[in-house]
Amino acid sequence: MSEVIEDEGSLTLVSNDGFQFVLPKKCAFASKTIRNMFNKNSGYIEAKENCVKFEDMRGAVLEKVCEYFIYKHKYSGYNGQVPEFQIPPEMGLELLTIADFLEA
Amino acid sequence: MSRRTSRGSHVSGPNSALTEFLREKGIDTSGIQALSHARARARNEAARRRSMAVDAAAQEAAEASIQATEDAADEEEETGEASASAARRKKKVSRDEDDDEEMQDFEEEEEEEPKATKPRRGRPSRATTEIKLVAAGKRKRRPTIVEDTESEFEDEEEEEEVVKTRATRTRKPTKAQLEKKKAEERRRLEEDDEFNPDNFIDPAFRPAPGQIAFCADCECRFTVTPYSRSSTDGEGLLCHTCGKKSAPVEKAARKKKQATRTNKKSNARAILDGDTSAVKSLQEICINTVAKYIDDVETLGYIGSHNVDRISQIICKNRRLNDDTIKLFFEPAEHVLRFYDCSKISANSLREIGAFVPTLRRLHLNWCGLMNDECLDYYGTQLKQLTSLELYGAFNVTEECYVRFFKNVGSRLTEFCVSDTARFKVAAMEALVDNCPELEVLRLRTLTHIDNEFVRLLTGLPNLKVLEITSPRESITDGSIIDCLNTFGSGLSELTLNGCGDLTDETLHAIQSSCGRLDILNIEELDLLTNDGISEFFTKWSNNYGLKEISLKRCVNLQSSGFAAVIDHSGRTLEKLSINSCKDINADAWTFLQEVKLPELESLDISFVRSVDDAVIEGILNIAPELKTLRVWGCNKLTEACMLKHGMLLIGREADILA
Repeated sequence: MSEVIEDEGSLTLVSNDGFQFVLPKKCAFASKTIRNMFNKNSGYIEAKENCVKFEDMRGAVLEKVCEYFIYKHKYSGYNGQVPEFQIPPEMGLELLTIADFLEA
Repeated sequence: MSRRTSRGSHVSGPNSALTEFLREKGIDTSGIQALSHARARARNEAARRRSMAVDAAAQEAAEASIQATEDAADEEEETGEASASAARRKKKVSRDEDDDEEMQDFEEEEEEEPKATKPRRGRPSRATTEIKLVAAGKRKRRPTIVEDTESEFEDEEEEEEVVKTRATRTRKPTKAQLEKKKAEERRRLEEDDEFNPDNFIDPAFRPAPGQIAFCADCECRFTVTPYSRSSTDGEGLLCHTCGKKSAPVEKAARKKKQATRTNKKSNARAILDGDTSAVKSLQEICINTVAKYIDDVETLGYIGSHNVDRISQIICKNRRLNDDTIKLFFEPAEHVLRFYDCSKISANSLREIGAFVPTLRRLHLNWCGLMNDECLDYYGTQLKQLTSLELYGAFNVTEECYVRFFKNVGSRLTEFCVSDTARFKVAAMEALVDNCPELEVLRLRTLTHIDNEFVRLLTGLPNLKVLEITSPRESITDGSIIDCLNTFGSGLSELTLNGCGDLTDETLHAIQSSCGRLDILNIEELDLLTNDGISEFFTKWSNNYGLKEISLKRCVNLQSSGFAAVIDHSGRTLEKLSINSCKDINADAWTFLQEVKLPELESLDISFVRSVDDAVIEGILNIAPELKTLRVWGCNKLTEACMLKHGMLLIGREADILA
């Protein structure tokens, strides 16, 4: 199936406790999973609604994920010293499984 | 003053730049009497007075006051031996030493008593502590001692007129100032590496601090200080305002230089760690975080075996795997466990692996020096599905235990690796051959008792696909290896004979005739192999269609023609090649390389091949589009100018490492 992916505009990520994060598609597509959802040909409902609901993500974790998307977008291709991305230790394992799911 | 005179006879030391300067200018100490010394505006007068007549009363007063000062303790005995000539002598030597200056300051203060109008003057006796404090406070304000000595000269000439304006100059420095001065000097020395216009003005012609000069830039009148900068053309000094203009630029340049240095260092480190991308993936960041706080983790939960292995790798590298952290990895249904550094794991914890993870199929333990017989016996009976065991550095396990283990495991075992032990001997090998005929992978690394007899036993393992014999302590000769290759050579996909230094071209012949399916061939440190032998081996090896990995590290006789034969044979399929330390490979080989393609090559080690230079590397990059890692340790012709591909790791280039 060919890929038809529109990466202009923004999308909304919703956590299971109702927090909404609006961010540019370009940034969110750092995650292959989200990117694939927005392939028009794959027929995901998310692509039509521009909104992804993550049933297994708390607001705090999703916020960190969004932070990472922005961080990655900002520093990829940058040659200088890249600041470290900080993760609170207690979130490490939870975020790890989510990162695996998102393929970020 | 009496103190001063007596001190002169004791103190000797290196001449300061100033003393040198004065001598050059023909100003000797006797001449300076009225002229020379730094804080000597004051002292001059005192000296004059002294030379006329020594006032006994003043002497006593001085003595008294000196004793009152704590920092003069060592000098006190000497007080009282007043002499005008000694005073002169003292002036000459004393200014080199800080404590001397201190003493002089006291003197000044004593002697200057009459000039009470001068704000900086102390009081005759140290008894009046308040004044002392005030004086100390003022001293602090004086920038550095350097300035002090430099300014001495002109101080004298202009003494009468400008005394007041420079009043604070001649204060003795405090400790803080001395430190500051040293730091300043250090900084200046560092700066000297670079172009620094300040160094361009010959110090002899540089106006002394305190003098009035005209700015080379704006032509305004200003007082020279030691910090006055010279103009860019080196013609004259700049006034404070003009000098300040260039200061931020220099500061920024200095900062930048420092930043590049740290940058270079961290880059070199990243290269060694194989870190290419600046932005890590979220998984990687999370794994690093978890590994960092592994001591606080209660359970890893289900995070996938790949991630578990990554965490294991990281904490083993950081030497954090211990009896507590290892328990995190005991997942009941796990099939594979790998621990890369078990040196801190007790035998008991190692035993627990068998109890907690009975479903294990593959177990890999590095440096498990604390493992004992009981432990391996337990694995043999408890791990019913175990097919692969890698035990590196289990030197406590006895031969009898290995025999029992092989009997217990039987033909289930398909992979067995053992290293660094003196207890794995012929009897253990016999048991392995007898009980585990299905063995496919066998790695024997740095075993003490491994000889031809031992190797011949391997002929009983017809299913071997991977054989590794690395660095045996005893000699292994062609005969036994050839016997082995004749039995199972046709099935081998990997053959490693690193460090079996007695093997000759005969072995190559055997490989050539029997090992048609070989993918990986490591024959490192076989220095009896000849160039002709290697050439012939690869040229005539027609039943093999190309190797994926070849390591000819330290096959020191290899020359360009042999190298060409290697490339001719396997160039199309090679993914990994090492010709580390093959020092005779020269320009011919690199010219030859230009005409071939290495389409699959990902990793190349050409360390210590001295003929490698920038052009060679650029040529290799042209013919090997997939190249990701290139090791070039000791290729000292390489420079930073070498054009590299983005995303490729160049490891070991001198220019990257020497900051």
